[in-house]
Amino acid sequence: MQPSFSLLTLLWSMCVAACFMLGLTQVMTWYQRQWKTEYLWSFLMAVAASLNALFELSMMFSTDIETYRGFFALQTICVFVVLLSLVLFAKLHLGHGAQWILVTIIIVWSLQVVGQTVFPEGPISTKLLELGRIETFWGEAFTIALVETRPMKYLTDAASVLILIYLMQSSWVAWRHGMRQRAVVVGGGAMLFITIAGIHTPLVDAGIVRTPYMISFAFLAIVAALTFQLISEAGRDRTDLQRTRREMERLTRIGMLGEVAAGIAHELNQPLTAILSNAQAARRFLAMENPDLNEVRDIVDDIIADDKRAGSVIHGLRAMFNRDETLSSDAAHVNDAVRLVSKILTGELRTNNILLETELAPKLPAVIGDEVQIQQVLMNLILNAMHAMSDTPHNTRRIVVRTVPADGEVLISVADTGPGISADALPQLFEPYYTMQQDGLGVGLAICRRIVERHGGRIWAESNSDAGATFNFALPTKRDTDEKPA
Amino acid sequence: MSEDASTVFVVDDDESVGRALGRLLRGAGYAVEVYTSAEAFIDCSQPNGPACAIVDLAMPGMDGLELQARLVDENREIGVVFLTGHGDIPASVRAMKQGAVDFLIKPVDESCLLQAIEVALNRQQQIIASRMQSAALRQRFDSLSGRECEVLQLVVDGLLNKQIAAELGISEKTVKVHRSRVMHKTGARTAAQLARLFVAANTTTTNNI
Repeated sequence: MQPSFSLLTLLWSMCVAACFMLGLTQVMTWYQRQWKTEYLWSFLMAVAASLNALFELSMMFSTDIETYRGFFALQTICVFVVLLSLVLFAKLHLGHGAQWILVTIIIVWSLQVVGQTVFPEGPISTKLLELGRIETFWGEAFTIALVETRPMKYLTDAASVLILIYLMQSSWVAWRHGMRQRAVVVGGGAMLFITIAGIHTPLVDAGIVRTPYMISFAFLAIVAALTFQLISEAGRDRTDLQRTRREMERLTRIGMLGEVAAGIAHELNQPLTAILSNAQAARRFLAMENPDLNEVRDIVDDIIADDKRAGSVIHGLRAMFNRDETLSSDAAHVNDAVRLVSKILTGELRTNNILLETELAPKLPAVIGDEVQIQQVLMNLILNAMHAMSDTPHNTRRIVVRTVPADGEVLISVADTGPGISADALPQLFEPYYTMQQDGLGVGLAICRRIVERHGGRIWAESNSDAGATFNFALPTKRDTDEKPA
Repeated sequence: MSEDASTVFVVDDDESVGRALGRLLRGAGYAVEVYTSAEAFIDCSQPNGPACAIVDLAMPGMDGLELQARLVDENREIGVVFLTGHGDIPASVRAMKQGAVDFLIKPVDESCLLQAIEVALNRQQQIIASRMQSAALRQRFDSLSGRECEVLQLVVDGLLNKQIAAELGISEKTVKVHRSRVMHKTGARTAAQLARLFVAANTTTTNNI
């Protein structure tokens, strides 16, 4: 009788597989969202919907009433789990509806499940009378039972209405809170397909519509809507998180520049002082009877050099202040970054009686990444070193920044002569909110680590054998780049 | 460098600033020496004439205030004018208490700078003059013989000739001779003036007058 190719089997199997795959997709997002409870419900719903389709298919090809009854009971359990998960998901994801509705739904459906599984002949079960064979419009035969409709059966229909009301309440809460997409996709989708299933199923039971039960497809549609929404939200959150992180990095950088503003002003003041004195000296020389033009020429040369010096600091500052935070994977030159940062910090370090020495490898390959972000890491490490030496005698305060080419990477180290780092503090240094400074926030080094790791590098700290601590970071070099002479 | 040439030292770790200030001050007619660190300046030779130093407050290693304290400790007669990038009140108070001549903010206009240098050099000039005066006086007192010194001491103590004679066990007449020689050698006309000169000669003038 059965055709060798069964379209029904194909359709329902696809439904089983689709629900299951959507469930698995949700688990992956679930993991990224720190195992939020609402994902448990949507996952459970996907699994139950998958099983529901499987049992529906099994019912269609049952040959005796006992087997049919068994699958019917299992399917009822699945429907219960799907609806319960859906309502609980809606409660968490959209908003709380009336508690009594929730409780009523659970009670009615529990009675229905118990009735159908334990007392198939009892008062609240759907009583299966006999099996019949019906053909689809394409001529494939399937099994369906004739059912006796009892008054108690209308309880389930009432429960379906309550589910709709609850979903409506939840969606309304979500809508009011501005979560419109959620309300429409999740709330609206679920309501639409439950209504369709809720109308179709009684019609099949009553023998008016001569098709198999098609609850599975309604459920598949709901599961798909949920999955779509959850994944799109997770994706949006991830971009939001990234944007927030980058913005935080930029703000930290601006904060650091603010901290050293007095030092920067001092550093700009030096060339201005030299320019003014040079210009006034030149005026005096030119007013002499036989002005020494060579001297005046030297003065003008110095004025030009000092002007350029001030300009380069301002130029570097501008780059650090406004910068869109997309990681440019251009070649970055670490030595240039060190020079600029030391220029910006000269004033601040001078005010703190700190001698900054740089030992830059003469031929350093370029690294992959963003020079401004490397500057930020350097500035953070140098400022940390400066803070660490606030109790160190003036004449021993020293910071040495070294760059060394290593195998496939560039090593950068910042060494100070402060008190060093205790062994128990070392492992926590780069954790967020861990700080050794009295008024520190503990975000600086965590951000440094994130930047370095984003560049594919690593960062670590160690105590020096003599005095102080050294912070190191290594960045992978860009392949096939010309070595830039220092 | 001639005996009385005024020397201006510039101590700034920023080479360009030091060079510029040096040119300006040379242009204004001073003998100028530029140092890029406090340590290098400390090791320099003591100037003969009046001197002042234009010192940057913030420098790596020994800073401006430490340098000033060192100069005071070592009794070196150099007027200090501070230059600083930012007006730091506690530092300026400390500098002035330690005897700084002025505290100027960078970038400094030549008129302010030259005025401060003039004040500093004048002050040094006066110190040197008064020191030379007391040196000359001391020379006069040094020319007294042993006996004359004894008489001088007692005259300054306010004793009469008779009492001095008794004290030293010599005749009053001899005392009178010694006393007139003391008056002659020191150039004092009265006992009171003698006492004043004696005190002045034994006071070593340091910085403030």
